[in-house]
Amino acid sequence: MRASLAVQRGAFTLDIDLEVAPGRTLALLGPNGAGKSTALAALTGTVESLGSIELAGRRIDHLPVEQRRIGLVFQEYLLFPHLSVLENVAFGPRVLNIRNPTDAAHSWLDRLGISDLAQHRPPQLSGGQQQRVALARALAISPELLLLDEPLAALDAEVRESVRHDLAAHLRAIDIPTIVVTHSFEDVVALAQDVVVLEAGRVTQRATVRELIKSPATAYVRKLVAAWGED
Amino acid sequence: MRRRSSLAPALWIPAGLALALLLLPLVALIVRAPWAQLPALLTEPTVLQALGLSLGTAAIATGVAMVLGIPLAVVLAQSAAWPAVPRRLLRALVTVPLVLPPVVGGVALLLLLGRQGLIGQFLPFGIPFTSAAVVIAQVFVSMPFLVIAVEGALRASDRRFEVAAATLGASRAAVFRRVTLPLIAPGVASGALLCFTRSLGEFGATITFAGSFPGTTQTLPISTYLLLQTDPNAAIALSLVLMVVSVAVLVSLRDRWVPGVVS
Repeated sequence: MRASLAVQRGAFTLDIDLEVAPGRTLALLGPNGAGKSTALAALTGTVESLGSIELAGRRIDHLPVEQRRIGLVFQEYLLFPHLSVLENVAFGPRVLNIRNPTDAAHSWLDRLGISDLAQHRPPQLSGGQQQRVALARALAISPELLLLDEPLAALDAEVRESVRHDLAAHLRAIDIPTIVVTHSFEDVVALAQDVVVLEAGRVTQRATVRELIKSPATAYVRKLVAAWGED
Repeated sequence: MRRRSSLAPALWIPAGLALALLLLPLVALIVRAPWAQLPALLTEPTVLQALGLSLGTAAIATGVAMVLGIPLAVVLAQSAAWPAVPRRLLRALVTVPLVLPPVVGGVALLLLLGRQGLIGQFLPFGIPFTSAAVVIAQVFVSMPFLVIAVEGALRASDRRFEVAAATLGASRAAVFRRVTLPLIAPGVASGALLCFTRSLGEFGATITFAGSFPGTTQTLPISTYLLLQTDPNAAIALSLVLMVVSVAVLVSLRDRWVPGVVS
């Protein structure tokens, strides 16, 4: 996955290049208002952007949202409240006319260890369960890129650590490029191998997670690394 | 506080009168109803005919209002992003039948679809004074209730679910059918119910545009009005039926009422 995004929104300018190899997870790290969500929206096509996006060797930047095949896990998960867990996961395969959408959904629920939730409704689930369903739903369309928007921010602090641990295990088992948008350094360390630091719409550092910890380039990252080291 | 408490008695009297004005006529209807004769009155062939016609036309009118009104509600909800003039014009057009005297609506429909009407003169068949005219008159007066209810539900719904559906590969039509519609279903249901009740009670536009022919255009309210002159007890019985239906709808809507209008 290779993308070069440029978005102008009033006085705010986002200018960012991203590259992620299949099977690797890139963390897009930055403070609130840095442009992380805008970058995500530009990738999925919900915000207009100049530049190019190349996925698995083909340009997708001219395609509408529904044709991009980018799996997106929303911060609040946004599971369809009127559908069961199974139907939420089968939604993508069904609208994409993939054969046996229900079977596909069952196999994803199985893979993520939540088969027992199949007939539940989203409001009955805990935050951690909702996150797994959202991940299963995003993966069920066989995406060529997986995006996770602040995947742990909607969770209570007590469960965050265990859900983060589970999510890391699932991400390791996925062989597509993955981007995690986050402002949490714990997320970066647990989930990603590479980091792009975004501050005020610009990239201020590009590194592996180890390099970032060893030599943070900006005051923002230094502060995060120091706070993380104290924990 | 002193101001409020000194105002209270002055407010209570007109408020009580207002409530009495709303309630007492219904009480009179219930008190004066010929309860013993009710079963016989309500099973008379003419009554059953009017009842069947009313239920049938109101149901069709509600169906038509849904097919046409839901898309109109979507346009109305999206008009929030339009410039002020067309946006206000559209809203005014949608709400006109709510404030227009129904009889004026009936006259207007005659001028449009009557034999000499703007469109009617080109039609190979006549619409006025048929059951179809009853349905058209009912749709005209009742559709705004549905449109406003659905529009309110659309505005209150979380549009991010639609974005989520699009990222999963759903086309606009699929998003609307599989996500938007189910999410606004309660609003559609209450709108449809209000629409049905208003259609069932429609009188002015119907009698003007469709006339009063037993079996084809003589609906329950028209029948009630005519019976009042010849058989008052039967008229009271029919009024009771219409009242029971209205109260049942009110109870089923409860606090949901119409989102966007009262919420």
